Amino acid sequence: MRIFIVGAGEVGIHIASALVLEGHDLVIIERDPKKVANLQSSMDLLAIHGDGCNPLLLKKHGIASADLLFAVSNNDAVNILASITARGMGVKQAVVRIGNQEMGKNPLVRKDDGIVPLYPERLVAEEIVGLTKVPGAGKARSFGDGKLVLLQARPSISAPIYGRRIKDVKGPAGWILGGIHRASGTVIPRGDTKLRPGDLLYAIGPAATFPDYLESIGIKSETVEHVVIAGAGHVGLALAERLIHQKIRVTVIQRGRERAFDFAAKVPEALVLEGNAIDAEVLKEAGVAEADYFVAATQDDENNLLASLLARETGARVVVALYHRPEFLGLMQAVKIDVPVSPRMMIAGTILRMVHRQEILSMDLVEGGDAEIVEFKVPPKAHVLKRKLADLRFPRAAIVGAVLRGDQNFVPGGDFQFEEGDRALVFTLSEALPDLEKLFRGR
Amino acid sequence: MKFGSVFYLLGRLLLTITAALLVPAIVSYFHKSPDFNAFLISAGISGALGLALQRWFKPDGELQLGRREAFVLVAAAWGTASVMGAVPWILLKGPLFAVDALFESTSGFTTTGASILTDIESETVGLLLWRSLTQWLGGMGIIVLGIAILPKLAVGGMELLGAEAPGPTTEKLTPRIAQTAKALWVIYAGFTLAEALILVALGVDLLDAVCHAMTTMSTGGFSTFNASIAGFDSFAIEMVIAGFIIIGGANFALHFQWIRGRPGPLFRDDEFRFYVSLLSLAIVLVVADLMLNQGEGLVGALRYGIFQVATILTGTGYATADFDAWPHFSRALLFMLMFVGGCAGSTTGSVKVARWMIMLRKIVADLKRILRPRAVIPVRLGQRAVPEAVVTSVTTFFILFLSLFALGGLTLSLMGHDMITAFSASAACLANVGPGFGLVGPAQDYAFFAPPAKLLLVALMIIGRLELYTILVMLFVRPRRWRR
Repeated sequence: MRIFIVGAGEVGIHIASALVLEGHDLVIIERDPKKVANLQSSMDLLAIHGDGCNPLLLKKHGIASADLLFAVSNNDAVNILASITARGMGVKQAVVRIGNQEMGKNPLVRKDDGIVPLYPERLVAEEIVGLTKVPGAGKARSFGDGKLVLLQARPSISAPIYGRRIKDVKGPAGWILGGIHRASGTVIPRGDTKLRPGDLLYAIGPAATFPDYLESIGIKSETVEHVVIAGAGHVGLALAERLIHQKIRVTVIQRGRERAFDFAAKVPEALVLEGNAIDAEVLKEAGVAEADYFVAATQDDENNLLASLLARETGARVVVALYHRPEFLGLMQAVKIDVPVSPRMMIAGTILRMVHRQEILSMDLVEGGDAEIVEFKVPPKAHVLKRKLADLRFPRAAIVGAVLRGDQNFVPGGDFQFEEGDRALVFTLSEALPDLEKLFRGR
Repeated sequence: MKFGSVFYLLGRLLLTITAALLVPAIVSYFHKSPDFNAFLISAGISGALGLALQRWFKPDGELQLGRREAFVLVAAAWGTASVMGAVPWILLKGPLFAVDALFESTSGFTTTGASILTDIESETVGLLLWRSLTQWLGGMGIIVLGIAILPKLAVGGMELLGAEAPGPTTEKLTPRIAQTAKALWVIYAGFTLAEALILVALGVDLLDAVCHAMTTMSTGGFSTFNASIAGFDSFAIEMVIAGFIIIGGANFALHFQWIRGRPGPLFRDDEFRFYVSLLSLAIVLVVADLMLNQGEGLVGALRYGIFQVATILTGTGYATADFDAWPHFSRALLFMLMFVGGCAGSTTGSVKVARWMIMLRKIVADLKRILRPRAVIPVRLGQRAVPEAVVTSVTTFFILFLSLFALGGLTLSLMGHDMITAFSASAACLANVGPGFGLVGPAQDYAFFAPPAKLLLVALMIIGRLELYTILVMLFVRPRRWRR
């Protein structure tokens, strides 16, 4: 595919590096000549110095025959104009990154017209809000109109599950363990796999019974009543609005009188404190000691890391921290930040999903990047329709977590028979993806 | 300093006053009233001055006024109008009447309604019409000042009050001040006409109906009767007037909206709702007090309670009863209501409901902040968070208002007047109410004050009318800088 990227910021470069490896034909337009030179020398793509909104530049490099344009610079106005321009000049689809939600109200930005808005801050906010709905889990995503939920959670050390084979561990009905992430890499569990302390589990099951599942791995699920957010930026705003909508009490910490005031003006229901989140006094005043969640959502990675550590010392139950630079993931895991979240990974994941034919759901869910959770829709005459699940030569490195059929959902056993139109959620190691694609391809 | 434009516009104002002076002249002519000549001569003086100013001073460019020019113009406009309005009185009653004439004229143009006339009914037809007309013209000026000019000058938080109301300016229909003014004046004149017609239908004499309609809509309060509205002695007429007083105390930008078929903004408006709630609460309290402590029946208590609360809260100053003889609580409450005023963008004076709302909410926010010293709690008015600078400005306005009130009261006490008289006169003039308590009560008048006291009250009326800052800012700017 011929793909244009406008803006070689963090997001742009991240998408570019992933897409180049997949063999796509990339054109990246950037205003900063230094970045252009760097890109040109380090990656196999066409880097152009110029303005992504310039129609002549777009035309010259073949926008008319391109499949996709990602406008992912840091400037909403540039992104919107670039995608409208490109769309008008013939690109099949434009994806526009928008930071300020109000800018997304532009009537020209419409999915139906092939201009798909993408709100990284909103994605992050929704991810965190998803967590507060399943308190205790590290990550969560819902499927099938919210009936099914996929949870990432680290079992309690004292849970009676270690050293036993999975088929001997009794979990709640309808829950299936799809993946185990451990230091040595991701494992797709079989009946005789044994759990070890430190394992990170991916499981899917009915949303209604998630507390039972968490209890079975020794996590007590308490309802979320109060969330403290450090940083009143786009993420903080999107998050606060959503939490308040769910009747959760929100306290926001922001440095600088003006920004704190602006936030308080926009979100009257939130309590806004003016101060520094790495000041213990401020955290105390914000009530972090009794808070269920502390979310460090400032622009600054160091600040987020320190604030989260301080918040945990102060007594926050679950600590979430945003990071932008990839090296911070390791740091955050090392100091046991409960949930590190990377807006950049999230948006990149979403964008890569758009490039891939099937729905790769939330590849950012799986740590390490050697495994994926993929949603396949069963087309007419697919291989999987021929035999029962046990008789299909299903890759050992993959497991079907759940199947959605109409408004029903199944945990498929060995004698499960796929039907056309089913949607299957599959946990898979990346190496098994090509085999899976063959199985689920129509003829 | 572009004095050219200022004088040119003052010339235009004088020509408008000339036209206004011709109205009582014509009425006098048909009534064969002895004041015909006085009005004709006044019109002549005003017209000549106006033409002269327009001839001598050419406007600079497109009549663009800077901040300074705008302040000077506003202050000079009310000064000029007040002086010019006094001329017919002086011509008729002689030069010894000059201070009284200025008092009466200023009380008119500032829509205060305080009067030095002891026997109103003995005055000539032309003069009675002229007093009412000055209030009506003053009201027109205030609407434009409040909605179109002061918000631009950012005086005492007016920039917010103007912006909050979904006024004609947000409609993109009338972007210029002149057009906004015309749209609002049509509404103002329309209400006046409606009230006059209703009063005539209720059997009021045409001249009385027009005079009262003009002083109701301007929340001025001049009456053509010694007994004020009580002179009609009609429940129906009192309620009609009370209704129009309440309309006059609301934001004219909101009237503009519902007249154009959108009542939503009026009922959603934070300030309007507070205004109506406050009126209702005060009425309930006064009615209860009248029933319990004065043995008034429910109907009587409602009749006097509704009217008196509406007229004092909006600073109109009509009377249907000698409220100075009411029980202590009602008197005290009415005195306090003088410090409220109507909504921003109305013809009322005083502090105004929106400023009270901002201050009350500021108090709540500050109390909350005691527990969490770092909390940022914006004061809200409607959907908007009031910028902190505006909150400060509103607070300063209030302190200034109280200081001027105190200064006025103290000075009058120094001149030998009792405390109730001195302080209520100070409040009634500063808040543009009209009658006060004690010797300036609703059954009394301001005639007994010595000329210096009258001049002090004239100053209070103008300062209060022009939102304090407009006048006081003159004190702090050196003339050299004004010339620039």
